[in-house]
Amino acid sequence: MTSYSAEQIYELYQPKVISYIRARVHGQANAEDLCSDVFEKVFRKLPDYDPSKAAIGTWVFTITRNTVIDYFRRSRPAEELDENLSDDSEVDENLLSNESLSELASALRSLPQQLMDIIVLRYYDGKPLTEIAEMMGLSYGAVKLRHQNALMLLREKLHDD
Amino acid sequence: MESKLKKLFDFQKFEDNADLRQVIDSVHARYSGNVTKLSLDDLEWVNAAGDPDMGMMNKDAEKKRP
Repeated sequence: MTSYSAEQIYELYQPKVISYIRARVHGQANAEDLCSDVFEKVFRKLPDYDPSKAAIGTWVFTITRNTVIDYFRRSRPAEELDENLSDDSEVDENLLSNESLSELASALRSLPQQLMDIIVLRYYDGKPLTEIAEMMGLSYGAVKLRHQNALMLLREKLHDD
Repeated sequence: MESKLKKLFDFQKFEDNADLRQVIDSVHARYSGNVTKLSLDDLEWVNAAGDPDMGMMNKDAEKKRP
């Protein structure tokens, strides 16, 4: 159970939900339909929401992400799914919080600049290493090696097993 | 680690954490090349085909109007 009312949740998260969906789904009408689906699920599941398991924003995000994945599976099987969504393993709601994003920012700042750039271009922008190599004026081999180094350093800094 | 990064950056696109946004913007600024960001005022002059020169012609014509 939560102290948020349905109206408060809609007011707080509708701009984030529609913006996230628009970045992935073609067409304003499709995006608005999906946004409605998200809030229909949010309101239906609200009595079961457990604040001790996840922040409300993380919970709304998880429903949004799953709704977008279902949309692609249902109606756009031929269309390529956003790479960050293609990993359809369950979202670990403990991992996703504003604090974890700040920790990632801090870990990225502690990396040598080129390694930070490779991680952002690869995992935020979804660019392949070949394109990153071209952008940075480096060979593919050099970028691949730095990418591995960056992952190793981040694993240590973020205490990832 | 790769899976964790994908999930965190995907969540960032929803949550827009200000701290991480700064890091991302600093990276994008290094690779933005010669692309010039148009102001909202300038965007009004970009025609439907996205050709800013056409808009500038209209802007010049308006300036010449008495």
